[in-house]
Amino acid sequence: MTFRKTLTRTVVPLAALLLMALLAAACVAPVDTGAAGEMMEEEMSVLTVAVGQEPTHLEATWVAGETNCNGCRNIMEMLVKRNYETGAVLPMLATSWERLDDRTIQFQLREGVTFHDGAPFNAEAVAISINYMWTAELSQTLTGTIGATLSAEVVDEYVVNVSAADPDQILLEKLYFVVISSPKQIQEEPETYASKLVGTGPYMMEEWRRGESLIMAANPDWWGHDDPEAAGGKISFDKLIYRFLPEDTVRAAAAQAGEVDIAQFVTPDQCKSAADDPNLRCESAPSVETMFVRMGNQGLFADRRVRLALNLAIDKELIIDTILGGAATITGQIVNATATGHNPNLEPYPYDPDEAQALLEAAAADGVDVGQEFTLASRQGLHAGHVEVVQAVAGMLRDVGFNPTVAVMPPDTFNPAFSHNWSELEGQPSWVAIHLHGNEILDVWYSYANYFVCDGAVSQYCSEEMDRLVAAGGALSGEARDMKLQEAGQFVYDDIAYGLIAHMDLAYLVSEDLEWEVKLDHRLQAKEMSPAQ
Amino acid sequence: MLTREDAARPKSASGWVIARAMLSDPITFVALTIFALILISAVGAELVAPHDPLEQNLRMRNMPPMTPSVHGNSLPHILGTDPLGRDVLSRIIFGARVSLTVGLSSALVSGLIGSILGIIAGYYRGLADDLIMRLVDIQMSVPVLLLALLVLFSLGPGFLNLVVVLAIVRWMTYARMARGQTLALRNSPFIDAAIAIGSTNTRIIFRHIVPNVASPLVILGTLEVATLILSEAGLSFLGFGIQLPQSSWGLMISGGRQYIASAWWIVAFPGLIIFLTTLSLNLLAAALRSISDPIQRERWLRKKVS
Amino acid sequence: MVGVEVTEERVQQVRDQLGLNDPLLVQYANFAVRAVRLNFGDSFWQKTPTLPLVIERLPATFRLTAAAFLLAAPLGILLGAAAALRPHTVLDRVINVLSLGGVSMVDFWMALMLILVFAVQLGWFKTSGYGGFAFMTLPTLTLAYAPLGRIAQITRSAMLDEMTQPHITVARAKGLSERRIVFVHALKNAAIPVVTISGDMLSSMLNGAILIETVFAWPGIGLLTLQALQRRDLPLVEATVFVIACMVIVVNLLVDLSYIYLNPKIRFQ
Repeated sequence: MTFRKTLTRTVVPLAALLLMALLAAACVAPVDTGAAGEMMEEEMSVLTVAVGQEPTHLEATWVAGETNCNGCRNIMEMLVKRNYETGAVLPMLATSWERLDDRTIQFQLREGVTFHDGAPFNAEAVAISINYMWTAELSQTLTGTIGATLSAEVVDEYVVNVSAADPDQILLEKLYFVVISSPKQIQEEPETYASKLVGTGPYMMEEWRRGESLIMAANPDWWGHDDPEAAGGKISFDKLIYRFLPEDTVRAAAAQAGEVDIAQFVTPDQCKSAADDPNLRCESAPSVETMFVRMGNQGLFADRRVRLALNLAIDKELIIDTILGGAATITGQIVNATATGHNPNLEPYPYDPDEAQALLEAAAADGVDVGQEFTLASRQGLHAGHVEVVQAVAGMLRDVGFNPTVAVMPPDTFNPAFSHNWSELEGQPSWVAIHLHGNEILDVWYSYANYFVCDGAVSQYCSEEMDRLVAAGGALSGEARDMKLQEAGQFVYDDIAYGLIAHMDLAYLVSEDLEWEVKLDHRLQAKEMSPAQ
Repeated sequence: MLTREDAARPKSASGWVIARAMLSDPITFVALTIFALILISAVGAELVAPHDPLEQNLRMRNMPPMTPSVHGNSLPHILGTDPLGRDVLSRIIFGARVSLTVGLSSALVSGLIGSILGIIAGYYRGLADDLIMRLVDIQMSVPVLLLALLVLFSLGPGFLNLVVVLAIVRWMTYARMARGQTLALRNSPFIDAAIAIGSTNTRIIFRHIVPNVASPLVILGTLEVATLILSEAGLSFLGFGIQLPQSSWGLMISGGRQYIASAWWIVAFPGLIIFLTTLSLNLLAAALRSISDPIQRERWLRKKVS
Repeated sequence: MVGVEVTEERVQQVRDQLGLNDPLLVQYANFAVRAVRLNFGDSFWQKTPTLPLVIERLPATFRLTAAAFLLAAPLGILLGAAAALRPHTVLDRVINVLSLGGVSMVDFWMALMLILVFAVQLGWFKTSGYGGFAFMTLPTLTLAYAPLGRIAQITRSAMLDEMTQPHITVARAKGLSERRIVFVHALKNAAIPVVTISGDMLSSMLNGAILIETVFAWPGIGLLTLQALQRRDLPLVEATVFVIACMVIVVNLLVDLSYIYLNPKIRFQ
């Protein structure tokens, strides 16, 4: 066999194969965000944020929850905004409002605002946008999120009536979750509604690189240029890149390596390691999220002593000091002080394992099967360190005589299992969940109506007295509402409707080149950030 | 014509050769020792583990290797502690049970299914062969992990489902090999002879085919255990495999990854132990293969003599 | 803030809409029909056709696998040949353990360790994301190690087999140097088995891609598959599986064709 033959038989095809692969690799135009981003940084200012979750879709309803759609409030705006320190509702796209009856509010709209696609912002736009959200077949309506079905009606060019289907005292607060989309998009290209956001915000959606990032560009025609006070900030960047980095470790590493300006939701340990880094700081701030144990008063937990034992068995302070790295506040109720109905008299349940054990023994003596197995469930990826908290709590419960089995479930099995009313689970072994509850409406009625009334969507608790108190509080407004809901809070506290752990802080690694003060709502709004001087 | 004794002789000889050759080769000897140690500690975890793998102590969380234990008289935490203050070494030892059980049992199940189908295909040929091998081809076109994810997605995660799924997705390798070996044997004179003296098909398969295809299949099985341990780790890492409160090596890596920068030992050691286990299995399989292959064995033994 | 909860009612609605409550055979038949039509319907969440969503992820995965293969193949063949040149020496043993290490490596663990050392501690490469050299190096290294090990193993054993063939004996008798015999006469035939396993190799690299793309946030088809599964976006899952299967089949076909071309025994039949 000659060398020529060898060449034709093996080397040539092999080389050809390699060449093909090489060519193909080269041809596939590399979209080099990194290099391009760095080059551009010289001429234009770019803000890069590492977030944990990619939006499932971009329907405007999804913007209600920040982690559903990180950074989307840079694009979309609402009729009202909130001051999360005082709880006050402030003008945004609406300049003033007046309550017409217990279901309807009339809004006077801001003039001279345009959508990113050029459509004018007026009463008709608001009506089309709101009505579409509740009538079109969407992946997720807002009904479940804010507990109301809304509709809107044009009164005048800049006057619109927004109504709830049922009497609603906190309709105004709920409108903080309803963003206004371009009517042009809804009418002319509704097929883009799930993949493109068109709003009135300071930044315009440029591109959604799936699996990679959401890219936004500054909106030169933003109404807020003229009125930064009302708009709640200013435009400081030419371009925003929100990168999706689901791995906690990688997100923090990206901040440490200087690839991003902000890394969202880092662990206390990652925060500590930032202390040695001159280019980074850790921003940790209280949030509306409260970690609690949903046990209810059914099955094993029908006996009040058992419910009290569960609370006394958990060493809240130890968990906060160690696993949560001090970034949480021990609590006696499910909302923090900003919310309507927060009762300042409720002290956290103490830690007393001996008393817990004694209570369980007493209950056992009266025939309660306290050693029965129950599930202590939780959702994957809920919060950094959450899996450890659940296991630690299970260990503490086991120490006093409970028999929990830990189940950390993926969202798609946890969510349906969690979304049960107690009456659907009668006769089954108790299914207890450690979960986060975030009351962003800042009104405790919303929490109680879900968790502690007999027919609440996710209620494992049922008591006639509580039903009465919640119904009475919901119908009131102002000071009277606050007092009635505080009374309800005292009742569930005394009856031990749930296990309480802590209000959570959420933390970020932030570049020293960036000025940003994290607020209670933890929304990643670029208008509140600016390059450091 | 070969007699039974003749056919049996090389087999027993190779058994002795295998043992001697493996012990005399240093790398193979080390691999064998490592795997035996891991296997023994998995079986006798209660006796071997220095601490209770479930004992939590939040005040002792994320302690570096060699931190003294709070129980004064017991061993220090040789490989450190995890975010709940549990002893990492003890958890690795108990985790070995789950990881090895998944690997061994699913290798056994898939090996049995694959070998039976492969022998049937190779021996009977015809329609059975076509059907089985087309199935193999189809399944081969979907990557293993993807297929496992798909099945776990509909069955739900968990230990038993994991074993079932891994058995389903890995049988094809055995089927291919068993078929090829059977095909080769099918045409050899001693099978013709067996048919000529009127042996039944079952008798031929169990008397002549199975003993002759067994050794390459066992070697393949050794390799498969390694692959399956890796698959378990990957699936558990993605959240589709072993679930709490059970623990496996893959799950330990998955659970510790957010601490990698502050407490590297939580992730590093389980990963290292998976690597050592699969590496020693691969080394053993490689040694077995070269010993059982007559040409290579000759070279090996000649090397040993010289 | 943690996310809008999906209610049980919604889940049931989804299952009905996707026909998940139909008998398994009906579901399978429906899938087959959709596959033949190349239309898997719209992504459940994104409301756009699924196939383009999958295709747009192909370049990223293709770049990664191609780069990994280009790294693994020459290096693997070289190491395998070097090992075969001096069988049972220290060099052979080192290469053997190194290449078996590739097959035994926990890829996602290696990825995390590489990020920790080379991106965070040393700052040589980017931690994650899609882009050029700085982004590609770590995922490529991780993805390439397993195939590199396999190629080295296969090359070595194919070479050793080849070395016992008559034509090598002849070459030796002619007094050619051992190096020349190995790299010219033996390697060309030993390359055949390497080509034949490249189909399997692609399949196993796509396995690796699911894990590695997840860790490195590389927007390829592996990451998409995992996301589609996690979100129960079944039309998207179907489309990804279909596209991946097609890729593997096409590569296997190419491999079979090149095998015919490479192997004279088959070609002359």
